[in-house]
Amino acid sequence: MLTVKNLSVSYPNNPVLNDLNFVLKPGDFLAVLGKNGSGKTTLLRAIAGNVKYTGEIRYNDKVLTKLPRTERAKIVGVVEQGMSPAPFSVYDVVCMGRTPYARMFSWSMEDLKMVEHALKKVGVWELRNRLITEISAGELQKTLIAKVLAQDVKILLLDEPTSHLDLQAQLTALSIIQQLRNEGKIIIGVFHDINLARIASHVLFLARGEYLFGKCSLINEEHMRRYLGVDNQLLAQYLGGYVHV
Amino acid sequence: MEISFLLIIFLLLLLSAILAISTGSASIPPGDVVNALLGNADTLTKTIVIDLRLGRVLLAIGTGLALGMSGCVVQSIFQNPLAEPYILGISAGSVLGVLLSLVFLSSFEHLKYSAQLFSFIFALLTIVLVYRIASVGGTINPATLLLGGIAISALFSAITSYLIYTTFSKNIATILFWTMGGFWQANLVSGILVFVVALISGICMLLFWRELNALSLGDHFAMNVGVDVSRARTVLIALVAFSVSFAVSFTGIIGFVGLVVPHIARSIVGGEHKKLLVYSGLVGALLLLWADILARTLIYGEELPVGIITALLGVPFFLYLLFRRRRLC
Repeated sequence: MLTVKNLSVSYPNNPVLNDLNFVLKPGDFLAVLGKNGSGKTTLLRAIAGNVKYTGEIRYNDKVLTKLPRTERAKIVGVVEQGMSPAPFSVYDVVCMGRTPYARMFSWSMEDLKMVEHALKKVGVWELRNRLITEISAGELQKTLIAKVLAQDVKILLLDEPTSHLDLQAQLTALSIIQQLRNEGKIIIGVFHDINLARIASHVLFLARGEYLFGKCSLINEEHMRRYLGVDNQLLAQYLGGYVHV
Repeated sequence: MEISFLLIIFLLLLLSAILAISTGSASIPPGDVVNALLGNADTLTKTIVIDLRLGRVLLAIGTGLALGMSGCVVQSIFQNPLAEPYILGISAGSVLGVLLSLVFLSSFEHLKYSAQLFSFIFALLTIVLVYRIASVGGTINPATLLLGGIAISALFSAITSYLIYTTFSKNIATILFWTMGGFWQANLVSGILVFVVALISGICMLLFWRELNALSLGDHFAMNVGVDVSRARTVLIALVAFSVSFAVSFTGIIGFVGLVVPHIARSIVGGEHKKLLVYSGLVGALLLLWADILARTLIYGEELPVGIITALLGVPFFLYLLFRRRRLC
């Protein structure tokens, strides 16, 4: 169980998250929605331990701040957006997911098995020898999902996991998310597409210091206007063309 | 394939080392060099090969190893392809440390290796200073890092020039040595020392290959796979400062090796540091060995500072990188 209690994050003269509280159970899938700059990525960074925060983030009885980096990385994994370009193969990047478990100078047989399994599950096994600087943005996204699968974490943080993916790849990503939920993983994803957010079990609207957390039924006209700034006319048009995935 | 390529570089290094020993004012056939190294030669040949030239070759190999591997580490931990110990001011700091020890501790002859100690302290001081200048809220600004390095390097070089001018100005060879680098003060002990220190530091850097892999994709990426970024960076910076300052304290400033070599190695084996670090070290050693051979043979009867050769090779490559980056932007 993931417990976020009184979580606040502020950058100099700029409070981003203010006294945020929510609880997620194994298998829950939280879609985080909000305008640009509302603190969505900051929330993921706080849970990953990459920004300073006040309050408490707990997984079961473990307070994440008190855990060493390696132990935290066995619980929380992130599908990042935007990395420094470096000439690694797809295989090398997925191997990096095994870093928290490394005990010897080389990867163990178990590490390599996990990597192969992750590469095949996401469908990038054939790409394993290609350099990440030479593959498409969608293929890189899948590589990062494979990396986080190899990391074998309990909580997955996905920063716009379906961006750059074509429709077929989006469906693959969503079916992987569904499988992971069935395995009892907690998923937190930042989405810009309301259609995709609707498949989540919970939703968190963020708007500079304010928030609203609850079941997916909270995605309605009023909340979208209030937190996403979508006006009535556009909203009606949007909902008229709604596509169920 | 990979093993055979590694073998080729090793063989090339060995043959180049034999050639470097056989080349000089008294030319010795490569066969006699091998015999002398195995202990089967006359006293004169043995003296030239082992006492005079082997140390110099070991110094060139050790310095190349230190600069190549350190350049690779610095580029990865700062995620900056233009970073190297020279640009970050480590070399300028090392030289200043050595000169300060020569000026102020020259009367304390029993203080062996005080130059190396000062060199290390000043190298560490420089890198911490540059790191502090470029660090904003825990993250490194790459442009500020380079500019900070250039500024500190310029400041330390000015102090070094002042010291040389006021203290050693009558000796032009000293000025050339410290500003352009060279191996002509080498002996067997300094050669062995630099080689062993470079090798040990290099092995320690290699133990961090996973951290270096993750760090080269960004600080957040590294943290997310469990790397303690500030700890890894601190240890690696200390290793770089140790190995570079030790080499520089015997050779003076040899620029651009740390910049060029990791790029050559990366084009051969990609970004994976278990291989990249090894290749950076070997290519660095090979490059400096040949730079030394060229420095000794380009002008008959004279010896050029090695820094001139490495700069002639490095500057065009540096400019090529800058232009390529500009095109990519």
